This record gives sequence, structure tokens and C-alpha cells, in this order.
Amino acid sequence: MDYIFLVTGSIIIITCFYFIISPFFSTTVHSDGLIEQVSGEASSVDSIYRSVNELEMDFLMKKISEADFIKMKEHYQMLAADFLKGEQNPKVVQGKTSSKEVDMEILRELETLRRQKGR
Amino acid sequence: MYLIGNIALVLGVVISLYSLAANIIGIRTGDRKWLESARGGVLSLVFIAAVASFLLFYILGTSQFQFSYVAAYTSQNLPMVYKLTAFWAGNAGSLMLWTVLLCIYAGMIVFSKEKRNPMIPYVSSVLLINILFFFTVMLINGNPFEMTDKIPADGKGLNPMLQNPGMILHPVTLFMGYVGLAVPFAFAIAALIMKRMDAEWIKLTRRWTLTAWLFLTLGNIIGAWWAYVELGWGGYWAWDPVENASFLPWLTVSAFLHSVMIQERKNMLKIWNVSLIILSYILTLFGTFLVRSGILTSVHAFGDSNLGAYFLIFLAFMAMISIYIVMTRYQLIKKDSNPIESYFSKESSFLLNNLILVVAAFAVFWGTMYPLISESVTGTKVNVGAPYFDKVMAPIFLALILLMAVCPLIAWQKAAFDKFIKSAIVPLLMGLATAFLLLAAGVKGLYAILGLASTVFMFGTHVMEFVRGIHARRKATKENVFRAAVRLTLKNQRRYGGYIVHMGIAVLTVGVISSYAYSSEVMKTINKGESITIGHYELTFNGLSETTRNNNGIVVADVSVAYKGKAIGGVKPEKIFYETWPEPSTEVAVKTHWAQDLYVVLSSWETKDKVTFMVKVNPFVSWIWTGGIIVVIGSAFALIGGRPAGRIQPTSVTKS
Amino acid sequence: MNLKIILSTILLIILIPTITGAFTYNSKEFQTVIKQLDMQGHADHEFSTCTIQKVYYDEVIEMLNGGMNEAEIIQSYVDEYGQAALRTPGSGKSGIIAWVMPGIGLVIGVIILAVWLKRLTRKNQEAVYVQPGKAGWKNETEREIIEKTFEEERRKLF
Repeated sequence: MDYIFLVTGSIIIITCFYFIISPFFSTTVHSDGLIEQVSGEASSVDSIYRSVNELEMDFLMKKISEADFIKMKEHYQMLAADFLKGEQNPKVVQGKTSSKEVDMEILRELETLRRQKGR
Repeated sequence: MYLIGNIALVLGVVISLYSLAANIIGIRTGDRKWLESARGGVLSLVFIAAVASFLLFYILGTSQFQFSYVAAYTSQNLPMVYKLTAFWAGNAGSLMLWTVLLCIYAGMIVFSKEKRNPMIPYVSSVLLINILFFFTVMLINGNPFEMTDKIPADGKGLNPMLQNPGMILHPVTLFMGYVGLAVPFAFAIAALIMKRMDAEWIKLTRRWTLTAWLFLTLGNIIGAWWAYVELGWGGYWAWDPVENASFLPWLTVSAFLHSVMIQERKNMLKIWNVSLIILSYILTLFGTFLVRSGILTSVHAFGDSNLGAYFLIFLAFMAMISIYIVMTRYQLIKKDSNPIESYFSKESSFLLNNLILVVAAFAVFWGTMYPLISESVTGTKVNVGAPYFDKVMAPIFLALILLMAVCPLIAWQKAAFDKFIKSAIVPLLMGLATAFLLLAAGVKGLYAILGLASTVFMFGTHVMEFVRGIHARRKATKENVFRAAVRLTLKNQRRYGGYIVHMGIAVLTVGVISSYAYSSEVMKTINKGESITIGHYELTFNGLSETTRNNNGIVVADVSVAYKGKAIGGVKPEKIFYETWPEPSTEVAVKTHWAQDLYVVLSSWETKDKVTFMVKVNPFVSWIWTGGIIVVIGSAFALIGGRPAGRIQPTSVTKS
Repeated sequence: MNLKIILSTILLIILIPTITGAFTYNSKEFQTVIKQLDMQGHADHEFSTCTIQKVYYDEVIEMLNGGMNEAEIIQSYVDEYGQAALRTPGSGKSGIIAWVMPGIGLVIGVIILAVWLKRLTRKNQEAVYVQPGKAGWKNETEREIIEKTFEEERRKLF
């Protein structure tokens, strides 16, 4: 009976050892290193659309005023236009950079809006 | 088997140490093989923890009394299910449960689809520190595979109070919540170390946090249910230190779940969110410390052991590391946030929500710790019992309910106040009507009525939100009602899941307020054939009988019940005399009606024909359980679907 | 004979309060008292299996029947065991701190929140205005086209 336990114990130890050691002898080379995975978010233009949809819902559910809704929607439209123009233009880098630009863009646009409103 | 169990524990310590080292080497040198090896280590830990748990189940199930844990918590004639669930009846076993969950979670993370994310080695390291701690503590101070000096003929048996279905689930669910919080904590620390203070860690851990919250909720509610049907004092929440300890992280995580939305949308509150999740994690350790140390008297106390000290040291260690990391990254985190556009916006209402939840957590913490503080500072012993918490927490919760009532009506960014007032009028009138109806019906208790009215107000707001949402969607898309309803909720699962949770809380709150304010109690000694009247109930005692079940002697009282003069069957409250336990245990008989519970305890008897009963009528208690189920459904709904917060906000450029 | 009379009188005196104004576990006065007592940490135990609770219950009933009112009974326990006899902190210095602290926490929280919100909005007003973006409409037609595609595209995601 004791043998069984000894053998089982050894198997457990060997299994663990195998798990730990095997990467060092693995033949597949991971030259890629750690990969940045962009989380599965839809493209920025989609999020612009979604944002406007949400705004419209907020407006229809009577949470924001019509003036605010129209202003923000117009602003998002411009953003989308910019973005679409950017898409047609191959020089603009996709991915992070462009979303950064979009962010900047939104910021600028919002500031403009605010200034227009005189706040 | 002793050998295998102990090999597993030693291996646990060794491998977690190794994997930690391998991770550090891998991170330092950038050598992928070391990181892969560390991942292999995590896999081994999952394997070892699984082997050890299986073994523990096995020795418990087969009553191997040469193991002191088995002898201490089970006995020959214990039903199989309780033999197995004795796994988490004692210190050593619950440490094992914690460890195995931690290992599984760590395994899930290092083998998830995010495994290539550079954060993962850091996350895995933080979790490995936890795993290392638990294996070490088990090895030193809570070894479930410890042998007895002399093999006893039979075990001591399981505490009768733990022989209840609630106890099968309560510890497991609570632990899944506790352990689950280690994951977002680990991600937060990883993000801090890597100086990636965008919302990535929050997005990656959203489901983990929500799952942990779900299990914490479930754990607390099952615990309350267990207390209600098993402890026999007629309540479900006693503000016992240990209950408080599990309530504290629930409050802070609830706050976190709301405030992360602001970070996702606006990239602000970064320090706050990190602090909240660190605090929640620390509070889970604190809770465990309270349970294990026995420094506060509690029904949950695991009694004699110095495990508490280990937890305190670990808690202090983790807290200091976290604080150090936050401090060193403070300047970095502070940058890059966006301002709130208007005082009247969802953002600020979420901040208010956070304030209330954190103040609630502080009040609970303060009340729980005050006896200790008072005794050590002034030398006078002071009790802070349930009446204190009832008084202090009632206004806080009232404020929370009111906030929940208005919050859904407020839009992000910039809400319109006049429109808000218009939307709020209908639910507010519903609340006022409730108050009026209750007063007209002669219901007493101003605070309770205020609470109930606010709850109806809150519930009404949420219903109106659904209705208005469907209406708005139909306007925008011309869909039919059904389609609009389905698509509305499916498109915004996170939001509407949250609303369902809120509605569950409303249902639960009605139960809590009513049962606190309007329960009635009678204790009476009666002869056979006589009756007790309480509320609309009339209970007639028909006789006392004795039986045996699982070798335990049981005394059963046969009581027939009439409601408003109409017979509605009977109840059979019991006293069980366990073979293995000195005191008899009470089996409460509960007759549940949607509007009230009839709660009957067989208190004592002089002869077979003269018996004392404690009878309570607790209004709306079933609503608490129903509300709990709704909360769980709502959070599950938010969990399975739901994108990270949608609308792009005027974010400034973020460093990533 | 005399002894009998004395005995029955004594018996009557003992019984009278129990027969006429006797307090039971169900009396309101009893409940108010018992709910405040900590009973050495046994307050939340189940009555039938808790011997300590029984002792307290009987003591309180005895005191009530002995003519003491609720406040007197509570006071007698506090005199005997100190504030620890009760389930809540009292009105002493130590008790006040216990009661007031959550309120102080709230006040501090409100102040922090208020200051913070204010700071955030001020930051907002002081924000540097950035030049408008490059997106201006070239002409009405482009505007209309973009607006149309925009509406169509976003409807798909609705």
C-alpha cells in the first residue's frame, strides 16, 4: 500500500517538474515576445456612431436638452467626417495613433463648442 | 496519503517560490522561456491544489479519522454531503479552499487569451505571492493532512449549525468572492508597476470584479438565509463582526463598480479606483483575519488558532507594498484626466454614490472595530451591537436609495435639470402615494414609511427608465414594442443589468425595512389543544413526539396553523439532540407567505403536553431572498454581455 | 391559624403582581429592556438553547414585577457591569465618539468631494482653448452627404 503512495507522490512531483522544465526545452521559438493585444473594441468610427446613438437615446429619454444634443451630434458628425477622410487617406496610421488623434480632435472640438457657448 | 498531502503542500510552497522567481527573471531579462516556465509553475500549482483538494475530499468522505481534521469535523453517521462540505468547516480546510480557488484563478489568467499581454507576468507574480502565503500558512499552521496521535473510534462530528444547505454554499460563494478580488487587485498592481494607468486593467478585469461582487452578494445573502432558518433567533443579519467583515468589501466593490465607469469614459479617478480595489482586497484579508483571530467575539469565530496573526502580517505586508507602489506612481497617475463638464451629470452622481458607499463602509468598519479601539484607548469596554448599526446605517442607506432613485435619470456629461425634474415626477408621485397609502392604512413608524416610499420611488424610476428607453428606441428605430424592449436591453446589457440589480435591491430593501420595523413576536407556554394568536395567525398545539434520524434524537411539535380563521396546514418545529454534540439544536419551522413569514421555534417543554413556543411574524422576508435572486440575475446579465462603456469622451492623449 | 393567615397573605402579596400586572416575555416593557441588553455577548443567541439569556430574561421579569421601570433596570445593569452591559455605546465620552465618528466621516467625505468637484470644474473653465480641428465643411453638399452617410451608418449600430 505504501508503495502506491510513494509512486503517486513521485508522479506528482515529476509532473510538476515537467510543467516547469518543458518550456526550456521547447523547440518552438517564441521570437515574438510579449504581444500587445488591442482589446476587441470596435473601430473608433463605430464608437462615434455608438456615442451619437447613446446621445440620441438620452435626448429621446429626455435627459439632455435638444440644443445640447444637436450641438454634440454635429460635433460627432464632424469627427466622423474627419475620421472617414482619414481612412481614405492611406498616410494616416491606423490603430492607436489615429485614436489618439481622434481624442485630440474631440478635445479641440469640444473646446470650440464651449467657446461658442461662451462658457 | 499523509505523504501525498504533505508533498502537495511542500511542493506548493516550493513551486510558488520558483514561479515567482522565474517571473522576475523573465521580466528582468525579457527571456520568454522563464516566463513560460513560470506559467508551467502556475499550471503545476493548479494541479497540486487540485490533488490536495481531491485528497481532502477523499479522506473526509471515507472518514479517515487518523487525520485530525477529519476527526475534528466529521463523524461516522454524518450524511455524506456534510462529510464532504466539512472541507470548509474548519480553519485548515477553508485555507485549502482559498488556495485551490486562488490557483484556479491564477491558472485561468495565465492561460487566458490575454496571456501574451505584458501585464500578465506581473499579475501572475502578485497572485503567486498570495498562493505562496496560503501554502506556507497551511504548512506551518493549518495543515489539513495532520495526523492524530491516536486514531479515534469516531470523529467529533460537525457543528449542528453547519449542517444546513446554506452552509454548503455560503462559505464557497463568499470565498469565490474574496479570492476573485485578488485578480483585479493583481491587475491594478501590475498596471501601477508598469505605469500603464489607462483603463486597460479595468477593462481586463471588469468581468472578474463583477463576478467577485456577484459571489460576495450571493455569499452574504445565503449567509443571511442560513442565519434565518438555522440560528433560530428570528433575524438574518446581526451586524456580527464577521458579517460586517464580508459586508465591507461588498460596499467598496460596489463603489468601485460604479467609479470605474467614470475612468473608462473620462480617464479620471485613476488613483481613486486603484485605491478602492486595493482597499477591497485588503478588506478581504482583514475579514479573514477577524474570523481567524477571534479578537472579536462572533458566532463565526473559528476559535483557538494564531492564524489571525499570519493574516495580519500578510495584510500589513500587502498594504505597505500597495501604498508604496501607489505613492511612487502618484505623479504619473495624476496626469491625463479630464474634467467633469457639469455638476449635474452622471459623473458627479457616481461620485456621490462612491461617497455614500465608502462612508457606509467606514461606519461599518468603525462600529466593528470600536469595541477594540475603546478598550485599548480608554480601557472601558463598550459594545457596538446591532442597534447601533441599525441607527447609524439606516440614514446612510436611505441616502443611497434616494440616490439610486435619481441617478438613472441623469445623463452623462451634461444633464438637463428641467427635464430631470419632469422625468422624476411620476416615480416620485409613486413614492408619495405609497407613503400616503401606508399612513392611511394605519401603518406606524415614520422612518420605515419614509424608507418604503423612497424604495418605491427608486423602483419606479427604474421601471420608467425601461419604459422610456423602449419608447425612445421605438421613436428612433420604428421597431415594435417587443423588439425594441429586447434590443434595448441586449444592446446595453451592462446598463440594464445594473438596473435589474437596482430593482433587486429595491425588492430586498422592502423586505429588510418591513421585517425590521414590523415583525411581531410572542413567546408563550401552552397546553395541548390550546392556541397562540399572533397577527392574523392562530397556532394550535396538537402534541409532541419523538423520533430518530441519522441516530440523532428529534423532538417534534405538531402545530396546526390557521390564517384569518382558515386552516392553512401545519408546522413542525423541532429540537434535534445530536449524538456528537452537547447542546440540542433548533430547527425552525417557517411558513412562507409572500407578505409574511410565520416563524415558529420550539423553545422548551415541561411535559409532553405543555410546551413553550417562540412565534414570530416577519413581514416580507421572502422579498429579501427574491430580491437577492433578482440581484444575481441582473449581475449575471451584465456579466455575460456588455461592452466597456461606449461613448467616446473628450479624452486627452493618454500614455499607454 | 395565625400562621396560616400570614402565610396566605404573603402568598397573595407575591401572587398579586403576577396575577394582575404581571410582566411576561411578551410585555412591551420587557422587550424594550431586553433589546438593549448585551447579555454578555449572548444577545443574538437563540433563547431556548442559551442559558445566559434565560438568566437575564428572568432577572428582568423579576425586576419589572418588583416595580422597577425600564430606565431603572437598564441603569442597574449599567451600574453593575458598566456600559458593556448594553448593546450600544452610551452617552459618555467614549460613547459619543462612537456615535459621532460616522458623521464626521461623512462630513470629511462631503468636503473632499465638494473641493474636488469644484477643482475639476474650475480646471475646466481655465482650460486652454485649442484651435478648431481641420474638419470644417467644404461646402453644403459635402456636409449633406456626410450627414446622410453618418445617419445611415449609425442606424445600423442602433
